Amino acid sequence: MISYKNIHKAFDIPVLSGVDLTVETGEMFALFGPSGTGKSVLLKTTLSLIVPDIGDVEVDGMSVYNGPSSNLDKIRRKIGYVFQHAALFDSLNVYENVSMGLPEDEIAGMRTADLSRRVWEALEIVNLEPREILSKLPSELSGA
Amino acid sequence: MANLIVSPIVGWFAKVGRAYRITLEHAGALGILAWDTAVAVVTLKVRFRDVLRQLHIMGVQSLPIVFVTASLAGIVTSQQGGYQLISSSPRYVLGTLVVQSVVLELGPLLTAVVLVGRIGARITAELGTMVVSEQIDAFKSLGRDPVAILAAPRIIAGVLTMPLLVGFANVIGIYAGMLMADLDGGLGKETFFYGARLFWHSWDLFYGFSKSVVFGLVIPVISVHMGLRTRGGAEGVGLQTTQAVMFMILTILIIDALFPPLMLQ
Repeated sequence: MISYKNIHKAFDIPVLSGVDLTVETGEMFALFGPSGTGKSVLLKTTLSLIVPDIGDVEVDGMSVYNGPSSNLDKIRRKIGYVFQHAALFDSLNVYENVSMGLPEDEIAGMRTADLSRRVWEALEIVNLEPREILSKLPSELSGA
Repeated sequence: MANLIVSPIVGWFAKVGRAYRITLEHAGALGILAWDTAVAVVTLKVRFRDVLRQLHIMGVQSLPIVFVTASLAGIVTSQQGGYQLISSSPRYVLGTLVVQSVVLELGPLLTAVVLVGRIGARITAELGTMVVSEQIDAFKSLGRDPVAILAAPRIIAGVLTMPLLVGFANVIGIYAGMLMADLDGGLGKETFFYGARLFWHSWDLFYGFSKSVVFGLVIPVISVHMGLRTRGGAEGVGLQTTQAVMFMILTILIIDALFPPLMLQ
């Protein structure tokens, strides 16, 4: 469950003014509105990518802004966020891009061979040929 | 009538206040960036491979442009020095002039200016593009620290690379100046270095390298800071890169002016 509590955010002019919203577990919720009305801003407050001027967000009872800093790490692991622009790191190669999907502490305790295997398997699931593309940059891949 | 008098005054105060606010914002953000970088280094979050990559980009790939700049600086100093000293001083003084100019000022300053254009602008544009394409947000959403991944390797590499490049520039600048003194005025190598040694202080070398370390810190810190503050699209990246270059050059010139009273008294 995600709860937005009295969210205020202004960028020179107010964008969000006292948003209260709760999305229950398992609920499918779509947020519509004209451009520039703060939809992305509200979503980004969920992961503290944008910090609200006033208000708090709770994910499964954990506060993003008023709890311990470890809360944010836990919340970020729970949430998959799809960005509006291309979601690839263009200065990292395919291997590094895919391995970014694993938590940092998990990678730290993992042998290089095991990490390579996980990356290899992930690429095979989406029908990409690891041998050919692992060391390529996103700009060297086909857009399709 | 009162409005006609009050409005410009209020406007002036508003401008001063805005400038003051922006300056404090930059100072605060630079301080936080420096602190976060120090924390990332101390907690060993910075990957050695990332630092090595930046060392290659900033150091090895900068050698050709530093070579050209330092050579020309040495040649011009030698020619102009020869022209000014030809009838008023012993010829060996040209060796003093070239070595002192290169070690104290031209080596560190010109190398820094070159790196502002080659490295500083590149870092700001690169990070600015990552901001506007939400790659920085993506790092955060995956629980990664952009300072440890992007900022710290560049800052560490800047501090390590700059003194080495300045050392290289000093050698090239002095050698080019010596060759020009020989070609232009027939001043032999022994006479050139006799003049250089006559007024040589080892402190001068330390002074030049101290400058280079500070410049090596300032360039990546400002360029990273400006890159991470980029807003808007392609236009925002261009604007921020231009401002970053101006900010870096101005800061370097101010720091350069502060060094003599602090270290040459």
